[in-house]
Amino acid sequence: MTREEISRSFGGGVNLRLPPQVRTLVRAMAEQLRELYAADAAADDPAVARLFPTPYVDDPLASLAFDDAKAGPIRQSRLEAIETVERTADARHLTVEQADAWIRTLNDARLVLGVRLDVKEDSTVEDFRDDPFKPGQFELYAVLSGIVDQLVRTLIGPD
Amino acid sequence: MSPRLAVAPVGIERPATGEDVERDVPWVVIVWNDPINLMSYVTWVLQKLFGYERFKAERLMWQVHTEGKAAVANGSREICEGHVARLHAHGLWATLQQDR
Repeated sequence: MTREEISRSFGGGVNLRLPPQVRTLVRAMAEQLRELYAADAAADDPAVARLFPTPYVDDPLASLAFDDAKAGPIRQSRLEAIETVERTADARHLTVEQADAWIRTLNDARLVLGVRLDVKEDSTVEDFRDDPFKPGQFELYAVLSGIVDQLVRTLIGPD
Repeated sequence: MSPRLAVAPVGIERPATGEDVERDVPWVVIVWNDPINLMSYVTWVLQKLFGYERFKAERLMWQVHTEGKAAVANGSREICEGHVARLHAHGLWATLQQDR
């Protein structure tokens, strides 16, 4: 994702000049995350487990109490971000708050894909050539990484 | 180290080991390294959630990356649970523990 496609807007927020296929991808990721949170089997899904980590390493009871109190609000904040992404998927300009929702949602999509692919820090597409589907999924993961990185760099400014 | 068994002295009060002592031990929020979250993303989350300046957020991010984890905040248990919940909502792998 280049700086020409995602750039800081003079009035604050982010200008988006994204190709239609990237916007289609963004919408698809939001929709798939929404379905993931709605699925009955979500609790057994390692990708969902990665989105809701165990907060106490050595205290399962405290972790359960944490989940009782916090998992609902965390899920709700994710759903609100998804709604924002769906509403602004075709926008040419995002406010800072909307860009925040894009970053979080697309990063969650990276987490799900990353867990499913079991990516390592130095993974490349060549690591997945033995599988018919994984190279494509890794390319998708890489595209999402580029969008998230450029959005974040646009918000926090140059090094 | 002497191999003789020491005889416990009598008549000495044991120190208190009740909950008051436990409550005084502060809690700390740990962020763990993971292979998925981008370095730029982790820096952004730490700046956003804790109001850290870029330099401090990047230093903590590098500590997570190179040492496997970093303590990013501390405080009461309730405050730290709130921090962990917000970090989880941002996809970071965070835990809390007492800072012994």
